[in-house]
Amino acid sequence: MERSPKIQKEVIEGCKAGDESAFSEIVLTYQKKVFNIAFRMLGNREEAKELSQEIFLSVLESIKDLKEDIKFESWLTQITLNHCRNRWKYLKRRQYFKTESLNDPIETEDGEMERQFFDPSDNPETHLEKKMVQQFVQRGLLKLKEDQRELIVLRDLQGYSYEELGELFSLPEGTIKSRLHRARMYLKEILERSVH
Amino acid sequence: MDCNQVRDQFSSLLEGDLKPQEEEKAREHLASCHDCQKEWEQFNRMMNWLHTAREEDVPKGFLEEIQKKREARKGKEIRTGAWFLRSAKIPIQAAAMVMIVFLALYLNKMAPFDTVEKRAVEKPEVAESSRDKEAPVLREEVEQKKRSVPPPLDRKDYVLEAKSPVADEKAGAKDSMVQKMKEEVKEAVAPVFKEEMASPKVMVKAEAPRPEESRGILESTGGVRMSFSKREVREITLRINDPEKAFTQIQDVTKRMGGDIVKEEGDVLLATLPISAYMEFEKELAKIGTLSITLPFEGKDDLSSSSRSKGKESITLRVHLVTGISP
Repeated sequence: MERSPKIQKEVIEGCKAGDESAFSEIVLTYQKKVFNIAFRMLGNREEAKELSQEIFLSVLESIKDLKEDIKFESWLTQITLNHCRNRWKYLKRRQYFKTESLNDPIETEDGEMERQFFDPSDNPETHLEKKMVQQFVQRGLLKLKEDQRELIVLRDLQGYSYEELGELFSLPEGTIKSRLHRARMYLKEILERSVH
Repeated sequence: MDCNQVRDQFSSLLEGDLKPQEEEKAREHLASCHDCQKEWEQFNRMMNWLHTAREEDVPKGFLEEIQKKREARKGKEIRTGAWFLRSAKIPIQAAAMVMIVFLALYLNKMAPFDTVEKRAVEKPEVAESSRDKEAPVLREEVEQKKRSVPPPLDRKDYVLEAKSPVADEKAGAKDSMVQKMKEEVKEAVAPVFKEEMASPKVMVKAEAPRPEESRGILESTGGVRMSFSKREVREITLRINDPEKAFTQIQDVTKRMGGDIVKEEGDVLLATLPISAYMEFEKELAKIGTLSITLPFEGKDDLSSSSRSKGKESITLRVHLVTGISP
């Protein structure tokens, strides 16, 4: 888990002024973070790619309204979460996730593959096993409620601090901690149930 | 410390958020409770998976695709004029709704007119038929009167029938109507009516009745006569030097006399005036220019006498202004 480097204030100002290279720099700096949040929230690479691109286009359209440049990252995360929520609702209405099961075929960069009998309690050693664990966890994440998934993705996968999360969700840190703990326990239950 | 309390502290225990004493108690419980120990291991393993999850690589050409989408969007907006719709914020659906509402209002507005017209056509028939049923005696009496009264009175019957049928339906209405008819028949003098309708001039020239009689006749026939005189226009030709000044003066005089200028067309003025003020008006006109009058009925006396009885009635005058000849 690695955090994106902070972008210079001048780059944000340049993007506001319509500088193409400044916008490109913003995209290159934050594309991995935005794409990974979208992927973890939606569980599909293609959807995540399309959505991330939409997010950056939205950023370009509305960056002139950003008053405090120092809060750019928080603002970008908020836009990302909003887009993910909307897309999630859209896909849910079309029953996109209805047939999802932890034992469904696994999607990989090389295409889908049939799931072999897999017990994550074994120590994953090979590359394939590691990938299978990641897919297994990803499918578990999609079984969570949306707000629980957001907390786990941002804290445990993206490494946001409790302070940042409190600011992002406008909640006290204590509330964030207790909600996050419930989300983790629920995810543990989901994963254990699918194994046994 | 029970199992639930310890399990609630798993996250804090993992992240080192517990105070040393709390952590010690939790670890003591975990060492002694097999179930909690198992839960804690599972929790730890899952957290390890999450923390070691590899980040997905961004698809190749991510930035280029964004640029392409941006260009495509710009081109599309310019081609379709979407920028205008977005800036105007007028969704087509909303415009369609407004059209539908207006159409509905228009159609609804038309419908009541139809029904009103139908009612206007149907109601007299209904009223007449109900009157036939309710007041056979009244009809007999009216017909009897019709037969005994000379033709001009037919017009009065017509007027009476044209009255609102609602009034006819009211209880006791027939009694009052019969009474009224009787009175009118008694008061009416047939030859005078006939002459009056045929030619006002003849009526004016007719023998002068005694004052009481004359008042009675005028009162009973006033409606007809005044309505007739109202329809007539008295033509006045006024020769003057200065048309503009004359116009102003005539307007002033008309207003002073309680009348009104209805219309101005070139050198012609159309004015209404209370009959009672006509004589005075004529005098005032004579001061403005040389006067010549074409009467719809002859004699000022007639006008003055009628004006006395019906001071509020008005007369219409058409004043032709002829310039160039000094009075």
